Amino acid sequence: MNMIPTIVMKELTEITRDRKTLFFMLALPTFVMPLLFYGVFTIAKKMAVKERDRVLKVAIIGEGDMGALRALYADSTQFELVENVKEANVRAMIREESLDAALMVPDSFHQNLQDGFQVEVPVQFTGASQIDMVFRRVSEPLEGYSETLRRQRLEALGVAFSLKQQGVIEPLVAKQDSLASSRERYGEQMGAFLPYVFIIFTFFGAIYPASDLGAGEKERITLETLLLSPVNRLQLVLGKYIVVALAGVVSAVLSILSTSVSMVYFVKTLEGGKVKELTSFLSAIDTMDFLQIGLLILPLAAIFAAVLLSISIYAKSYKESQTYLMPVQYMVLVPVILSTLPGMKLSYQTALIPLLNVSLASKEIIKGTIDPLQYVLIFLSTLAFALIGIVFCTKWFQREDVLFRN
Amino acid sequence: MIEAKGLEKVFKIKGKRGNGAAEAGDPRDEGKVFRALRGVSFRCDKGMVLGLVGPNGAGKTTTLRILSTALTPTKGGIIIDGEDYSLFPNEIRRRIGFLSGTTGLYPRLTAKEMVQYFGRLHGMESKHLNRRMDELFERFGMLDYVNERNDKLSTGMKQKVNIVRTLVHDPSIFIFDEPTTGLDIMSVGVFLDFLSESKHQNKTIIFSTHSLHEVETLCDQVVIINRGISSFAGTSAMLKQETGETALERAFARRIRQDEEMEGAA
Repeated sequence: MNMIPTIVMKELTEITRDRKTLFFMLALPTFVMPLLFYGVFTIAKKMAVKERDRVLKVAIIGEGDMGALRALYADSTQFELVENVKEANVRAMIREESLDAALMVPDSFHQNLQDGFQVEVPVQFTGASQIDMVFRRVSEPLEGYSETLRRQRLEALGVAFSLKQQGVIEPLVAKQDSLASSRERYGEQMGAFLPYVFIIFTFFGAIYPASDLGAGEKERITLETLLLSPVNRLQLVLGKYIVVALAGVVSAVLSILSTSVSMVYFVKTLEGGKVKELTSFLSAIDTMDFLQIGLLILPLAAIFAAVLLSISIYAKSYKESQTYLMPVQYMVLVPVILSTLPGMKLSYQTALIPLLNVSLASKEIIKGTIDPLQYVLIFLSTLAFALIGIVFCTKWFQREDVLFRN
Repeated sequence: MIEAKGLEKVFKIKGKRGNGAAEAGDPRDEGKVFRALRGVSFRCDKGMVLGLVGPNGAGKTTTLRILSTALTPTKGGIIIDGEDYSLFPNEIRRRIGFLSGTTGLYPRLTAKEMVQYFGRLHGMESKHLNRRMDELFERFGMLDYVNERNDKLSTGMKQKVNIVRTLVHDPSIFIFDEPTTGLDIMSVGVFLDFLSESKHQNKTIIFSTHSLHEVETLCDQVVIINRGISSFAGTSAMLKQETGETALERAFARRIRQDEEMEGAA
């Protein structure tokens, strides 16, 4: 008699009543990516705007007449010139934030400029912050001044027209003309990011149900009663296995959907020239691509379910199960990280390595360059590993020394 | 009728020495293996209650786990109604109801869902199962809380859920492993009422206990298991007569000492 549906229904009823499982299976994959995209990027954007708009306190240190330099900063609303700063105090003042930057003008500044030499003006600032615009903002007026001087010098040399001036400065320019479409270029970056999301969420989604369905049975002392029902062990394992794998799939699908929605939203909020390219990249990814990635989740979840359930049934308790699962979490990350290394490409060899193959394949799918044969090979090899996992898990479920370790 | 015939069970010992059951000088401890059972035989007929007694770690739980098919014997067999079912565990499982004092419930299922699940696992059809559940819930006065989650129930209520779970598929043989251990007085009462009722229904009942009072009042037969061997099988009166003691506790202690002396001499 087929008892698998009975077991699946019972386990589903139980896990959907467990808040911890629901959090990891549904809430986390649904909300973590929008929070990451919306929250982190919004905060970063706000901080960048704040950094761009704040008035910078600048000091000009040096001997002689600084009239021209002072005018660059004194006339701007973006800067506040701090007067009478001694060179010895500059570092301390920057550290304690009473000064944002100091232009350390060399003694020979005027003379060297007049003689047509290049003059270096060191700009001191902290430079420790991730969103530090101080150097860029402080050097902008200097660059403007430098441009004026350049034009004057070139005119003095008889190069009057701006186009010709450009020719003198940069006679030859190499222009990029990549054959890769914008989908391929962005796909290489975005496609490397997506496997992080769905492989990790397939794993996370399956962790708690696996611990609950294996070690949880031992901890609650219900395993013995279950084993004494006239149901063969393969059916018991398959019933539990289907629920663990399903939890992983649900979590992964939710993570892909929420990442996609977040990505579209993120691109829409961007400004600048790349928006058009990014929009065309995103609109080039169609339902078929998502289905192709979605199909890869099935054998992936099947592998995870077998590994997690085997570990869980071996553990004496829920806590012990969580301890054993910690190193497995890191092992899951390794192939995903490997897939992002330069030169790591999908081939007939890498197509046989579990997790790495799915990670590389999803990148190719996003880029629109997946080889159908390699795709089939990945699917079949991952499925083969999953089947080995199920057989192992069933054997594990029949061993007295595993079931009655405590 | 259920009969244990020459049951032996050997466990391999991995890692740390000992399995916690072996005392110093326990003849079952053979280094890399532990002979938990070295020959356990007894027979329990229909309508009889057989009490399995013995010191801690003597092999009572291992014996009951073998009878209930959770463990496979290294040697020996299980005979039910004259047939050897050792190789057909599912056939044994259909006929037995197993319960221990520590058996847990699925906390997130209701009492009804829990009983229903095990009824289904025993292959019961919905109509028959529902009828059986209604009958049992009413008999045990559980109608008020069958739809409550198990984690919300008191210990006594949980024990009733467990009893109904054991009974739902109408087994002919009951195996109870220290069923009253850890239970409060009310829950012990619930169990003992159930035990007497089952006896009157001509069920075969085997249970292990540390309470010799339970043995004296409930059991038709006593089997002493000591260091993996069934060293005595008979009535409590026979045990007292053989040892020359009037109290069952003293008779039991004397018998254990005699066994150990004999083994030491051998």
